[in-house]
Amino acid sequence: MSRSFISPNDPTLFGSCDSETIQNAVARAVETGCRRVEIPRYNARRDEMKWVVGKAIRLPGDFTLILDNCVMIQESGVYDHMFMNESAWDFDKVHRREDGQRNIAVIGRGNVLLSGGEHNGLLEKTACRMGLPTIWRNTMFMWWNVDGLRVENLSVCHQRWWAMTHLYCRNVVLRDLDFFAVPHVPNMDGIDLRVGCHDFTLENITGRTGDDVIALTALSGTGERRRAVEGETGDICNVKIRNVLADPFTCLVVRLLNEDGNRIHHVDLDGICDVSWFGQKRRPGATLAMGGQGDLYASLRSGGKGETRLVSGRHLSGRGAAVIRFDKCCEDMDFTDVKTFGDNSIAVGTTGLGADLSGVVIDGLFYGSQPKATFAPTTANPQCYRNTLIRLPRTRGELTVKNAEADHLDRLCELGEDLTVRLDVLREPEVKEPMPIPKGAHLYLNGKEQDHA
Amino acid sequence: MREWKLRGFVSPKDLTGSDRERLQAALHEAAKLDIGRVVVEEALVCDGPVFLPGGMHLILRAPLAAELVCRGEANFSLACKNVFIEAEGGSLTGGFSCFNGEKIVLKDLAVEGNVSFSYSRKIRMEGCRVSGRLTVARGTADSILQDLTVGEALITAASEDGPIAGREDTVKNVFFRNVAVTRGSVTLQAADDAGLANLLVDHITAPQTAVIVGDAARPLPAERYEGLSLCDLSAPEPVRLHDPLLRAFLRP
Repeated sequence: MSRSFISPNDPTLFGSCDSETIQNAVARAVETGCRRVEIPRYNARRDEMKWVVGKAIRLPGDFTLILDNCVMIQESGVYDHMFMNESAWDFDKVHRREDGQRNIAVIGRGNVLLSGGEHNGLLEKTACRMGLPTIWRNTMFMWWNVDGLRVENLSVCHQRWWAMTHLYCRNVVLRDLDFFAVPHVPNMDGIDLRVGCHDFTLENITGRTGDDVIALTALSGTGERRRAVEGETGDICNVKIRNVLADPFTCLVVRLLNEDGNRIHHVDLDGICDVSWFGQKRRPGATLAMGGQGDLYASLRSGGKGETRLVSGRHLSGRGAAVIRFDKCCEDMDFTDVKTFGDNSIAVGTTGLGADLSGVVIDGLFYGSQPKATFAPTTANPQCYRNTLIRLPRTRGELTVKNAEADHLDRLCELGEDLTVRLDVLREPEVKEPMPIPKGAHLYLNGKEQDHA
Repeated sequence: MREWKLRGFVSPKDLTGSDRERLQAALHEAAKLDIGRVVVEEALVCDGPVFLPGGMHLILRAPLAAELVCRGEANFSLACKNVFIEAEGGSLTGGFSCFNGEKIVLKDLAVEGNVSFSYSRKIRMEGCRVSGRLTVARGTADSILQDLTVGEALITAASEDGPIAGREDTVKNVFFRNVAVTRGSVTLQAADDAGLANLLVDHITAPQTAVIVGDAARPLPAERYEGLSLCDLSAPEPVRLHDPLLRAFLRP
């Protein structure tokens, strides 16, 4: 009798643990041809309303997994994913596109909760030491070389490392995902797109992570080089990110980072909002950050000109140290409707190492932060955190800002040498401090060049 | 009961009493047994409000006439959380109201009546049709409402409910996108003591005026409307401003 799906509550599928039971259900679904498993809330094997996953559930291609109003928790003391595609650890041969899986869907129905449970002590700094495995084992969803992936309507909490990791994946939709992480360990990212990811749509991403909410990081470290796919570049491109309302703890809502000759391009952002609470003691680094810091993340070589470009964004807001942060070489980018609020310091900034900007335009920049009086004195570099519309020291190139409006500024701009900023303001902002313009830098305020210091 | 657990839901058909009693009892049993789902499989007419507990997935496979209510306590840590309502062929006549809710999802629901949220966070409302008024009221934050058809919409910092200990009164960080308004407009109305902040209202269509800000009879200062983004408004009159805005992005 053909069935439309297989349930792991079928007693003939029971194994010694929940993972084995679910894997048996997956195998049965493949055998019968229905290629669909629905995991319900009630676990008949345990007679409990939860599933405990100690071993990663391996999903084949052309497969749909429905998480039906269920709660799934990772088992304590184990080092494995919750879900992965079948060949995610298949290093026996050189990988080509066709060696991966196609068309995998993990869809939540109703209220689905996936929990990392009790942390297992595997961190980036403890990985591969004292018998512990590689840190990659701690990502909850591991997807490598998947063409056609949908993950929808899930709540993820207490992830042990990055919640969702993608390498060399394409044609992917991630939507209606909520995260909750109390950052008691580092690197509790939400969604990571690593090398070789393209044609992604991310929509309706909410919640709170313990590190970056969405990280597009095209880096060729040891793990990534091991997972290279023949014929695929390491570039990340054609990514649309829409409706993100999230709190990244002290990190970034959206991060774009590329080194080692990998490029990031054609990324479109629409509605990215940092929802961290005004007055929270710690605040995010930025709503959107692009580029690396020196060689910090480079394994083969530092990123360069022409490698981070064609990024567009609309409706970005934040209360972090900056709303948009530029580092390294950023080219051909346009942003519309960028706002600060709460105790944000800087609307457009950089980390200490500066950037090289070319063809970057911001249309609609609104600064409205109220300074948090007690914050600046406790930091190592309080001068960085004075309310500044554009803070780009050690930065070169050109930035155009149209239709800017600002209140509660201490300083208008801090510029690097060799940087030209064209700033058109809707009304003259009141500033508390004079603004020295270094030699070599140019500031045009409503078309009129300002005097150098 | 084990049968209910294996089936994955409780149905009012399984219980006795009036329609309202059966539905309320089904919700109670589903919560008590941690089944977390009620499916309305036959048409029900409820003669009073029906309270949804937290952690509930309500599926309408038949018409339901009821006033559905999510109600948390007046304390930020006692919200009504994780309520998911969707239709699979069914509909809701009556309305839905949510006070101090958190993670509330309304999906693909046709509502003959009004829908309102106050002091609620992390609302996601998509693919719904509301014949009456959709209200996003005081204290609501961090929410996405998109791809909707509504009779009219009101985003307001006023509310008859509240306050809630530990919650701000400002309506903030709300995305209101791709909404077709069939009768009225999207009205944004601050209050004397609370405002609207960081709202994105875009891709709105309406028969006359897409977005109205404020009330001509009760002027309020610009500080009550901070960081609004109003874009792509399709109507004979895209926007009407009765109150000034502070640092607004206007691209009608």
